Amino acid sequence: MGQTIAEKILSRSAGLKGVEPGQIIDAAPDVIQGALS
Amino acid sequence: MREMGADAPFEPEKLVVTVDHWTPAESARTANLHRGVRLFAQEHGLKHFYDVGEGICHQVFMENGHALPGQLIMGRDSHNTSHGAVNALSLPFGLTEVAYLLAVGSVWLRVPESVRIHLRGRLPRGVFAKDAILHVIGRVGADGCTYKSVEFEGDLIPALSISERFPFCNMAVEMGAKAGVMPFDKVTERYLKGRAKKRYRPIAPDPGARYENTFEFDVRGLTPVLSCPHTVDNVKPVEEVAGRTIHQAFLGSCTNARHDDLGEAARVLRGRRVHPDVRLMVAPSSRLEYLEADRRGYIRTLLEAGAMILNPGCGPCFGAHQGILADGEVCISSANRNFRGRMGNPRAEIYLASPATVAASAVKGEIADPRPLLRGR
Repeated sequence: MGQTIAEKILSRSAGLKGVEPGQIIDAAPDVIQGALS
Repeated sequence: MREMGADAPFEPEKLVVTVDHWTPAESARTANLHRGVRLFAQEHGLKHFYDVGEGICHQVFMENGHALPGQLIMGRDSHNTSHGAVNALSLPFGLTEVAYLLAVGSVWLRVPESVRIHLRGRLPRGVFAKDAILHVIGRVGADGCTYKSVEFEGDLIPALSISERFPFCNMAVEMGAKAGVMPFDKVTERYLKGRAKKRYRPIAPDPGARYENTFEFDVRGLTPVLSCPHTVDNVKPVEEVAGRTIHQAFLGSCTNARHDDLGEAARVLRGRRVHPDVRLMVAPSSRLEYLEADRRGYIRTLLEAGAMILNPGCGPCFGAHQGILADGEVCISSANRNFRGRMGNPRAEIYLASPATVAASAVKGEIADPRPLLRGR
């Protein structure tokens, strides 16, 4: 099954081979933005 | 974060902080808040801290190369979706979740369904990216993409600069979306040259990728449009709204206040004066964009027309200061939200439009079609 852009990026960020819509994952971002703006 | 027992950010090198709301501070409370942010940045040795005057967080983030293709970006502001303009997946979160993220380095989330928005054709003269995204929102609805990841595609995209792609991703959240993402192409590559601080890996969907829905738009027949009070999806063509008296016009916000946006307005305002009953306020999206607009002569044109130039930052967009409306007043704005009370007074009205429509309306003293007033290219 092919993956969308969001699914590909979230798979990598969660350390998984693939993800499905609705799946709960633990994702680590590459950057955190404006947290205190 | 400290209440969760964390003394320091888990990965401070990943953190980019900009002070952009309520800038310069309008009260002692805000000044103390800003000082707290500065002290936090000093205490934890943050390498990427942008203080008051640098601009709006999303613009500052993009122009300094913090947003890169293929990245996952998380942030607190609801318009964090903006960074999808360079093929990043950029998700907004609530304050508590971001505090957890700072403390732990990751966060649980539900994988969103993906939706495609296909944009076909080129924009007609006098019709801009802002008109196109408002048109899309008008058709899809304010809750039409709730918690979806929106992927933009189609032959309009290669004709758009990154600045023009920005409003699409920025305002994806006004359809309820969790993300808005543009494809990577040569335009993205050119924009990132000299900005990107590290290597990146663009991401494209697989040929068999599964989308929950696809919305098709042909932009060739579009005319200028406005979001009318009091919801962003209450979109009408300018012909239906023209003639409505306005009192204030605002060129600003993370959506449309880059130098090309100000240039769009300058093309209307050159050699003309703002209507005597209208206050035109301009808040460039960043210091760098302000400088570029100045270098190109746009700032002089705006000033000569009677505009007030505010400091780079969020300005009056969210109704805290710098141009709160009086009871019964009407504002036309290049920003992204027109909810009741958004600009500080629930008894006022806000119309959203392109910078050209804002400028044309400022000249006429009433909502006006920019096309007859646009000069040159």
